[in-house]
Amino acid sequence: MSHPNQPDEVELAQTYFYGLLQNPQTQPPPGLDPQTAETVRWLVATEQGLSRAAQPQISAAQQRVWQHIAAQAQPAHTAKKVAATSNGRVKSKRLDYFDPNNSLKTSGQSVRAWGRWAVVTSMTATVVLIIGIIALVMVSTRLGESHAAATQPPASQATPSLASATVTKSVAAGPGNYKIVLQARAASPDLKQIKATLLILEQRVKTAGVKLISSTLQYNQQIVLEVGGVPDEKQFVQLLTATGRVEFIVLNNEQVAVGDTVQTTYCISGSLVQTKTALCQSNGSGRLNAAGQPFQTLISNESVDLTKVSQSNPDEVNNLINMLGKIWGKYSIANPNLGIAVVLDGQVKLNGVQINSLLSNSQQDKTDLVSLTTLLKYGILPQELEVVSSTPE
Amino acid sequence: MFFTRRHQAEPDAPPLDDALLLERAKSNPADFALLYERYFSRIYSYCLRRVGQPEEAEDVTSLVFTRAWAGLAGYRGGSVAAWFFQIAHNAVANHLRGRKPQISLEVAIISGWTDNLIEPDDGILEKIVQLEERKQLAGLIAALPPEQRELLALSVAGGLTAKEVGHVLGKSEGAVWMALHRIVQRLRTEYQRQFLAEESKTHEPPKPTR
Repeated sequence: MSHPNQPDEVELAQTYFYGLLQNPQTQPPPGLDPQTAETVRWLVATEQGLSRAAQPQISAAQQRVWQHIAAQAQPAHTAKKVAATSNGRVKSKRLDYFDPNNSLKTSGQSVRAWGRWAVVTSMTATVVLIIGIIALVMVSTRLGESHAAATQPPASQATPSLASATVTKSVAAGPGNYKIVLQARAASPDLKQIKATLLILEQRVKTAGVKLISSTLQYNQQIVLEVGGVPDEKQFVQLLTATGRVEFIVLNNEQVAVGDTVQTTYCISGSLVQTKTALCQSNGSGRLNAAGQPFQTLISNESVDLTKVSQSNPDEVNNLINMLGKIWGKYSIANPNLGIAVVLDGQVKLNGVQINSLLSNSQQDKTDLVSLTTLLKYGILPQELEVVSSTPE
Repeated sequence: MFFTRRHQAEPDAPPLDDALLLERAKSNPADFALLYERYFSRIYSYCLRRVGQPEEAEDVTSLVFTRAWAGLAGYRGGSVAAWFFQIAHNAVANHLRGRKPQISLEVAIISGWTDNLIEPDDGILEKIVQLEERKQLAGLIAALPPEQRELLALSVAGGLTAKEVGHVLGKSEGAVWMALHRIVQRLRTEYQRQFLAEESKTHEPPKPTR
């Protein structure tokens, strides 16, 4: 085993390390031990992979965090709209420099304001406390009204498990603009799940070709979406509240019919590439396979981002098909002729797709598959929502 | 509309130096928005890497920028990135000390349910192909001591130089280099150990090591 001069190796390794951070194609500097270079390469690649969030997620997070920061700066009478943090640890100082609409003031207020700010903090805290109590009473009143309204049959109810949104035409708006208020069904919803739900709803809005004007979390249990260009309000609300868990399941030599309700392993043991998640809720009904067991889930839309899969993106279609073949080939006995079915919310939507035929370029199967993968784009909702009413103006 | 990007109103303006922006932000809050735009992605990525959960990362990131805003007067020159990440480092450390045990991002990757968080620009197949190898490598990184994981997060997710990392951690640039080298050597040894263990399980002769 070679023993290179330690300082030189340190320098070479750090040069390669920072070079890779700038450009993944960077070649190791001459003289760097090959195995050290290889370790540096996979270290950077792995760490980058673990660090990197998808750009849409970053953009959405950037907007939400900015709203939170700006909300901290809002006057007390508007601050009640701000959601508390999930862990309750963010107790930020109120910032006077932001205006109530969250755009930044450019009036050139001086740093000297901090001194004055410190002096009036105790007085402000008292005022905020009083207003907060008033806001709490108002929220309670509104919630009471919402639950009362929920007794009316919702016009746009999509599934039995998801039920509620208040839909009103946006005041500021153009054609197809709506302000939609979604209410968590649970009495004390988990804030993390509400936030995760908000992320999914944003994704659904985007994939529906509708403009997302703003998305806000309020009262810790309501999601407010302002959207533009909605062609069909009822259909859009259905899209927002659809459960949308899609699974590819193994049929073996069995036959299932389109429309059959089936039980799968997904909420029991998970899929072949993903163990069961905490958010999974099994419907507990539907037919079992010939062995009396739930059908094995190959993979579901919780496991992979399939938002790029569409008829107009054949590369991603091929990637999807190859992925299915790879999973199937790796985890099952080698019988590629066994069929799979595509299941949406426990109901069979496509029956008997042969991975083998997909791999051998059967255009019809591909078309069917792609049309169903559009369903995969929407993701499941971690938090159930209720439709209070649908009242377009 | 809540979110206002001030820089969009000045699309043709030449980019300003971070330190100058930060000084200007002390008297002109609008300039803080520009700094937010510039640093959000790095701060958020760093927080996400350290706390593992997107929702928590948002909370901590929010705290970082709020503290940064409130503490503008405390900036005394030097690297703005190091200044921001000093705040982020402290916020993350406090957060990790105070929270209940949760599944880490590494474990999430290993279990496969955060596939959509990694390599977003790659195809689906590539994600699956990378998953197996990444499980093993992520496991090795997850086993590093906390201070070494912090150094990696600052360097990779935060995109800081060795000097800036040193500033945040209270070390010299050289000490950061040495720490990084120790990480590499440790991972190399661990990787070889695992590789040899797997080879012996399959009763195949091990590959020669250097």
